[in-house]
Amino acid sequence: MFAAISLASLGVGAIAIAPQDVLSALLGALAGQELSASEDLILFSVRLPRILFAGVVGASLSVSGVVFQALLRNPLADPFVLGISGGSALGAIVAIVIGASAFYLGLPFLAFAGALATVFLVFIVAGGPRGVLLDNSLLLAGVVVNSFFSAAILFALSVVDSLELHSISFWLMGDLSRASLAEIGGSALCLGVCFALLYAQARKLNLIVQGEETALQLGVNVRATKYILLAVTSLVTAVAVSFAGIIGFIGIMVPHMMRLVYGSDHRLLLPAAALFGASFLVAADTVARTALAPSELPVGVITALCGAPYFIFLMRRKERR
Amino acid sequence: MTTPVLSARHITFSYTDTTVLDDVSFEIESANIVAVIGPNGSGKTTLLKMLNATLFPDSGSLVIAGRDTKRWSRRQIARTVAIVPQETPAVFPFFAEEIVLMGRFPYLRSLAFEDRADYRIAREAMEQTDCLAFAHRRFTELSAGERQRVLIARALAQEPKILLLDESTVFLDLKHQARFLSLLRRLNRERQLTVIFVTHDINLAAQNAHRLLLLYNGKKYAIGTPADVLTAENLREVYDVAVGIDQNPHDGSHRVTLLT
Repeated sequence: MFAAISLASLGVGAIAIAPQDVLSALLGALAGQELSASEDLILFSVRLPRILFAGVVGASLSVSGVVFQALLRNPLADPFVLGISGGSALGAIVAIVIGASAFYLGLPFLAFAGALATVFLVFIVAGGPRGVLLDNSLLLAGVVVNSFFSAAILFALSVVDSLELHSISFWLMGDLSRASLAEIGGSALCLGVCFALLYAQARKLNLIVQGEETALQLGVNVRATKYILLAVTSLVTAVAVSFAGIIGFIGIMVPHMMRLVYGSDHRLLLPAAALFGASFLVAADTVARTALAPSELPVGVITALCGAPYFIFLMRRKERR
Repeated sequence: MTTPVLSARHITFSYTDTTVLDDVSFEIESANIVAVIGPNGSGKTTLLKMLNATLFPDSGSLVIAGRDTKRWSRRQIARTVAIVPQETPAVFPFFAEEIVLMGRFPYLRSLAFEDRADYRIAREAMEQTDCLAFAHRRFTELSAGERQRVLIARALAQEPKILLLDESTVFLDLKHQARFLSLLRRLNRERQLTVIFVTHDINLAAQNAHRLLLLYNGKKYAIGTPADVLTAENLREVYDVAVGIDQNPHDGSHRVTLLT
């Protein structure tokens, strides 16, 4: 499915290219044929990298969503709602403002620091007695932390000179268009490694979902597992955010849909969420760049437009039970 | 004299400022069925959590199968001790069979899927607790009694040497209570399974346990055979109730009748 959506997305754009032409161009390129210059430019320099990047980011955010929901035993958790995305974004903006982004990996590093700090903060705000997380206070903590970060981000933006302002605010709503090939490769590599680490913990996740005490009793070293999972998911989120900005709600919608289809076993759920999340974001990004063509929407606008109603629907259904 | 499978030596434990267990010592011999009784807040559940090493004593030590619980790895302890919890949160819809298979976790390498032997053990456990009929239904959709049977099956799938039960019969109907109790006695006889169960039902304890441990205010009040422990004085002192005690004509067990 990811392949089909990518193929369709390759063809759609301000300049439409018919699907069979896309396919033959791809096959032709594989076979080493020369392409017409404009097709080559559009397909391989503009659209293909962007599609790959959308796939990586979509998979990253969806997988993070799966893990956060399992760790917190709350189907409404995801990096965006919990404020982790906001924390990464703040870290990234601080990097831009203080000029750390000029250093190698300075930007993703500060984004990661921001993500970790947020995880820490949310857990403190939402923590009940003896480290027990209270269901609703967690979402509340996310809201509080999120609004704090938006204020901090706005503050940071007002110190930045106005030339950068437009691009930063565009990036904040999710922008897949500016990633360089190196960034795409780096984030794909990071996703690959992190996914392997997370997948190795998949069965432990199944047990943790049953409650931490149950997991302990069944032989899981819960504390260590939790720290590993939190650190790895924070890293995945931070990398996605530092290159693509804040793209919300994917981490809620995708895991939930996949649970309906594949059940709750994380050994199936994680790869399913990664693939579907990738497809979903490619589709959303395709809509984002074609809906008002030739100008573009930030892709975060599209995901939030579908995601927020979905969130409300989930929440109301949960309350009725 | 058999060696004890479990010995508690001067266990003391407190939550922030209330002492829950106070200098408790006892020994349990292998292949015994032991009931832990006592009023609300006497420390029964906390003791159970120590026995499966989810809590550790502040002072004193708890030795299971010759080794201090602090020195067991999580996987080792999960192969030795299994617990059937009172209830379990069910947020995500797992299948009943998946829940039972989780009992095989301590035996599996981290990336392996369950193999045929694991499935066989899980199915056998589900057969014993009469769960096969809803193996492929969602745990979240089952009734309280059905869930409890699934959790019992999961504990059996751990193939433990010691089985801990926390009020595990409360949601079961009469038929399944009877099945479960005779299953416990059979496993106890045939596989030398040690069973330690917490209950408020004193007659259930007297009928099924070899030994009773009576806790009161975090202290061991008495331990011994039902006849030793269930005396009118003990029960008056601990529960503040008047009881009549006689022999159950059906199985000869000690029978306690509340006099109100």
